Amino acid sequence: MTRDLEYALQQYYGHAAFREGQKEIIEDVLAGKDVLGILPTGSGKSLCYQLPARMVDGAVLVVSPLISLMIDQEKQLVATGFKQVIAITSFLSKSTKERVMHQLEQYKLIYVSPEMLQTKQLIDKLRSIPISVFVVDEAHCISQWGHEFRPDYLKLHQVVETLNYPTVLALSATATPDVQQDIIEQLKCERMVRHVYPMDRENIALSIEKVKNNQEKLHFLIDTLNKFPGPTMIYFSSRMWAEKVTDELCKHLPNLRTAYYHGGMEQADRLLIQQQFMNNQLDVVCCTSAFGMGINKKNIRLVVHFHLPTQIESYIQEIGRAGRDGKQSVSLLLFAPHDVSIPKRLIESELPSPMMINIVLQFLKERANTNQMLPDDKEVLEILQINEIQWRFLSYHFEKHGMIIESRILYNENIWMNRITSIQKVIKVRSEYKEQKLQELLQWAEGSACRRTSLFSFFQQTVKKPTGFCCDVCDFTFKTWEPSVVEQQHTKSDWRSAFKDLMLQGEIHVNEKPSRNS
Amino acid sequence: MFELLVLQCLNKINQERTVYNIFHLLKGKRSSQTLQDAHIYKLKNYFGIYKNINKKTFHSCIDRLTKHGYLENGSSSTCVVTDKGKRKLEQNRDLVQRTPFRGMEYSNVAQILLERLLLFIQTTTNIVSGNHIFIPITDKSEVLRWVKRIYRKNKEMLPELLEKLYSELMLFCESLPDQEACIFVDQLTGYRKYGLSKEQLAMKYNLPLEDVELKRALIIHKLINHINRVCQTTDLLPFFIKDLQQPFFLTTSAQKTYTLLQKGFTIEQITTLRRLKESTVFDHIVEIALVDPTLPIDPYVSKEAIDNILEITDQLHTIKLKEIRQALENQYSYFQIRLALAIAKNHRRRDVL
Repeated sequence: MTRDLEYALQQYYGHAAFREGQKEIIEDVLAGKDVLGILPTGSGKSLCYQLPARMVDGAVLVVSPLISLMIDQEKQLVATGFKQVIAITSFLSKSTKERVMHQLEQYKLIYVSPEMLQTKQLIDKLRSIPISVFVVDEAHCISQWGHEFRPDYLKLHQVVETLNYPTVLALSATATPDVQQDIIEQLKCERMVRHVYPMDRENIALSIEKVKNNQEKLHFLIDTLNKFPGPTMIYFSSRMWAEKVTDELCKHLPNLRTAYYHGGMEQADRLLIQQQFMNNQLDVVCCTSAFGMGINKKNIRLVVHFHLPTQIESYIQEIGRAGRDGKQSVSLLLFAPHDVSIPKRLIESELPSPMMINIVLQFLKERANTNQMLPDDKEVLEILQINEIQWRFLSYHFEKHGMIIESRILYNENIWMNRITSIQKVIKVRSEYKEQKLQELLQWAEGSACRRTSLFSFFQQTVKKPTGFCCDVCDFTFKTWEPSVVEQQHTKSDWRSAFKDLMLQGEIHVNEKPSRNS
Repeated sequence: MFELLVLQCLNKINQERTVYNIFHLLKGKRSSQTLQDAHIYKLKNYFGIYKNINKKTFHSCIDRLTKHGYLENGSSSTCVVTDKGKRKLEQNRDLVQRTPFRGMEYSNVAQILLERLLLFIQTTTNIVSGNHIFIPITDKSEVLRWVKRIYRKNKEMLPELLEKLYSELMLFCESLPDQEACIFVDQLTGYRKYGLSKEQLAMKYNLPLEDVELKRALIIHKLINHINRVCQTTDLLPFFIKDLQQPFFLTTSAQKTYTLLQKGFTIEQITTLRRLKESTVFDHIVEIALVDPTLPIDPYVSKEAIDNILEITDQLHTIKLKEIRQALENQYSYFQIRLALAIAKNHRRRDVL
């Protein structure tokens, strides 16, 4: 079988060898064992289910929390010629969705969001086709203590049962031992085989630059990028800052090709920026966390955090986008004294405030008194001016306490008062927990121990020996770093010749045309 | 450009409609009301020229216009164009009066034409360069299917097609002002070169994002014009829109009602058959009357009624339905008044012709 696996890898991906962990996980999955796989970001997690999808008899169902990630993967697979893949998301038009549902058995790889899995129509359809492997991607979302808890993930074990126990594969890049245990318990797969691989990447040097304020951050950035104009991602906590710094970089470093990317842009424009970056048409992308999921650009040399993230897990995930080609790369955190207020605000915005709960209750009471059902999520968000994360949290708890059942609002003043008190307790515990996670990150950034050992100590006992530099405490300075620089493509500035080139009408291209018989 | 255009639209509706009607107009909302307004206020060239507009963008434009003193708030979501605003419009006569936009005729075709063109160029340049693996820049299945079909049919002669398309588009670009030609070329995606996003175009040409959006629509409207007027039947470009142009522009629902009317069904029958409200069918009929002057309307409103209504309209200098109805002592329904106004528009159009 080992031979077969390597043959399949060569045939479908053109790779000669598996990366650490992939083969072990795939072998167990194909042998029908439930598997928990913890692989570092950028190590090719998705191959662990994409390859089996081409080899098993039935379909592989992948539950993924991020629609953009699913769509990216679908596009990439289709582009490489694997057409039996579909992402069932709210982005599908009604008619397309109907067509897809009608011929669901044709697909080998089916991506769904956990929310989608709660619709009866889809479940019924899935029951009627053979599902061989049930994949839970970003499995840390299942844990209350994971950094991106998604209430709908808690219902996944029921789906596994409904689908008559297909092989379960849970994957994550960031899960502490506690979270790993929680994933196994919540999925009710006690006999899960654990494949846990160290999360540290030996070719990424960690560095923190302490500055006084945003102005100094900008200066440092300009200096650094002036010397190292390699492929760079800069993470921001807000769209506004991503745009602003792009502006400044364009002004100060006109030779550097910089653009921004955030969730406020249209799908088509986002795709262009993403592909320009992949294609080395851009040197620097200033982005929010909306960027990067599913980006497998290999030669990113520098990942900068202009703002502090909210916990270590997302930090590790984001810096993991650097150096997928194995070459020396650097992560840089720009850290100023008052920075902590930004992640604090983010944490607050993720949980509903007491005032918001009152507004929601008032709304539900009115609907109940006039015998109206709960409108769909989109409408609720608009009426109540509440964000998606807050509403997901609340509606999960309302359902859990039987206050809302299948969009019916069962209002009872006394009972609800009690329930609300207990929901508020949960909120308190969660916000304290998140606060504590933020403190961990802060302590790490303010500490003076080796960045590498201290960052990964939350997840594992030891770290691998770095292939190049370790961190700014041990041996790294920007003075000694000499990254390879990607050659810039020269684009013509007058539109006539640019157009001629693009349409392959220039003389250079004539010779490149492949003959039709080849 | 965007602000001037909004100002111009508000000037034309002259407080008789709310600012939201302009929002819907630019967005190209396919409702009877929006379509009728577009005809009545002679704004049809602006219909649907900014499909991606959102409320926030629109409101901040209104705010800026107000801050500059070009607009004042009127009652219930209307806006008054101030004298300063009118002078501003006068100074920019060329831009706003002889607008090159053809929204009502083209906006529906424009988006699909652009996407077909972009994807076709991306596909052919990649395949001719020997690269079969690339992420398509649009994910609209109708566009993907169309390009795939063309590709399959012409697999053997892609370099020739590309060359032909190049010379046709070159001819078109030469007819554009330099900046527009640049924007047109910059947005194209080819082999190992992805086109610029709206945000990048805005930065490169130092334009507001809204203007980039409008310029791109404008270029495509000009392209459709070019295809209709300059291109030969043997050219490649006409092929990109051949299947898209419709004789009339109607909402899908109005189109269904229209078919039934032509088969001789009455309003009542259509209401029952299509399970619609009577008022909805009324909306459809007004919409149809606006684009089809041959629609018989005697069953709904008499010649005499039309004369009465139009006379009052002229006297009062208004097309506000409520005022007209009151002035005629409520003897005609809103439906009849709207129909009369629609007919008047068509007659005027016929006179011009």
